Amino acid sequence: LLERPSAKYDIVDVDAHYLENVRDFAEYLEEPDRTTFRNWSGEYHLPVPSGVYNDTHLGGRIKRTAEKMGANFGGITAPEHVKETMEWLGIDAIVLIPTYMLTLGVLSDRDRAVAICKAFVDYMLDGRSDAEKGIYFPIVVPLQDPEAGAKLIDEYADRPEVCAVMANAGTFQPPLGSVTYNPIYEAAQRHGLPVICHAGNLGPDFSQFQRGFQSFLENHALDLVFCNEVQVTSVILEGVFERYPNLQFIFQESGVAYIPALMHRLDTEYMRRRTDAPVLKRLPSDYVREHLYFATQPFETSLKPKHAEYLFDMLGGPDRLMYASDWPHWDWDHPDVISELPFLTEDGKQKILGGNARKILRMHSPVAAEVAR
Amino acid sequence: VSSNGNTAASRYTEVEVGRIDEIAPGGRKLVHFGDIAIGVFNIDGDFYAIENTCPHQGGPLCEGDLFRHLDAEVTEDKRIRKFFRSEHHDIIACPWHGYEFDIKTGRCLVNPIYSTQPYPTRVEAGAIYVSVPNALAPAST
Repeated sequence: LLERPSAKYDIVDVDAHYLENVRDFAEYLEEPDRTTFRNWSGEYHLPVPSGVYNDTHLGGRIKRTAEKMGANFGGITAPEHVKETMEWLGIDAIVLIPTYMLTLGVLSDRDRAVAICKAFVDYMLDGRSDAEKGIYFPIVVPLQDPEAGAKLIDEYADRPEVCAVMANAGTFQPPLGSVTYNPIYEAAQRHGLPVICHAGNLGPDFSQFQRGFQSFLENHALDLVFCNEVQVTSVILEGVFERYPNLQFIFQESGVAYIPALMHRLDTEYMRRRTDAPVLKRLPSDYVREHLYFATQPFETSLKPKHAEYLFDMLGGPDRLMYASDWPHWDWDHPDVISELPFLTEDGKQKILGGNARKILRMHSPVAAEVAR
Repeated sequence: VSSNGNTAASRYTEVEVGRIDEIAPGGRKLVHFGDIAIGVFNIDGDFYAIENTCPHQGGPLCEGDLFRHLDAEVTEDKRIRKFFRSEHHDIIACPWHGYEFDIKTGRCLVNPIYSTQPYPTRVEAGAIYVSVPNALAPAST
């Protein structure tokens, strides 16, 4: 049997999914929203990605997440499941990312977006997170109203359970590099919080580029990388890091193979068209290596080790990567996918499995005792 | 190879893992050899054995469910026709991520580099024998 990585490393999972119960949300809203949402006649408070109409768990072939979570595949639904998840994956600290709110960017209703984002913080603070036990969550900001987003950050940034700010990669427009979002970035930088950008699986019925795809496979393979390619391109080429030089971004759930391809694409185009982005003082890839982090899941296990080694080198090495499980979604990763990579040093493995996350996300809980140096 | 035959020429030892009436068609039994577990499956009366560790991310492969082999072909009029290749449920899907394996050959349906090596089985006088590497076999008495 493999030696479980939890025995050797301090492991931080930067992306596990809490399935926020939108019905419970009502109780965390202020009036009159509380009454409005409590009596909501529709099924959902947020747009639902068409991806959910597919069978993500392959007709019963993927069983483990259901065994651990009951019948619910969408996310962790109860505080006790967080503890079980951490124990079984051997995780020392976990970042709970919401599930329904991944589609928040599709919502046009500004006031509803603001209300839901505030309620989500109170909902997570009410027994669903615990900094002492290493259970954190990000403040999800309403991109629909950046001033309100900044206010939300100011109000809650000091709570120890808050480890980051989160902006969704789903189809919200304009993309995240826009100066429109300055209030959010200014607040995040002021409080020393990184910005998490999680891929949004909106599905072939939502996305203009994927309309007509016939399978979940087609849609998911492209959707969850394309949305982050859009946001990386935007935040770098529109000069977010010239405006906010201390800001860090963490891009989640697009794997790692796309990163070097995008870095070279951006560098080559920039070198031909510098006058389109005169605010940049360095090559786009230099900003990637200084300001961007990438969650590894779903790690491309099809890579041969020698190719993975080159790929890691091209994107800036282990310093740029953070392990994520995406538990309990169908394409989740065990920490083995990192700890078993033959070309990484022990130091490199520890950085990816937890060290980088501890450095960039704001976490107070102790590093696993066995590996604390 | 004779039962428990452990000659210098053989790197494998046959070990009795149970009686045929213990494992109904479609059923399985997990047998432990030290740190290794092997699943023994009854596929319509024939017995097959594979290791309980998925080559993908180390999941408990033999705890997966069995399925018929879903396949597809391009028809003469250039459409795609889906069909079940196998009559029996002889494909196991790892419960962790759904990677599929042919129980009879150990072949991983999506990528042969993830295939698992099946252990030969034999039935004699109602007993099921699995050939395991000598190092895994219980010490002979």
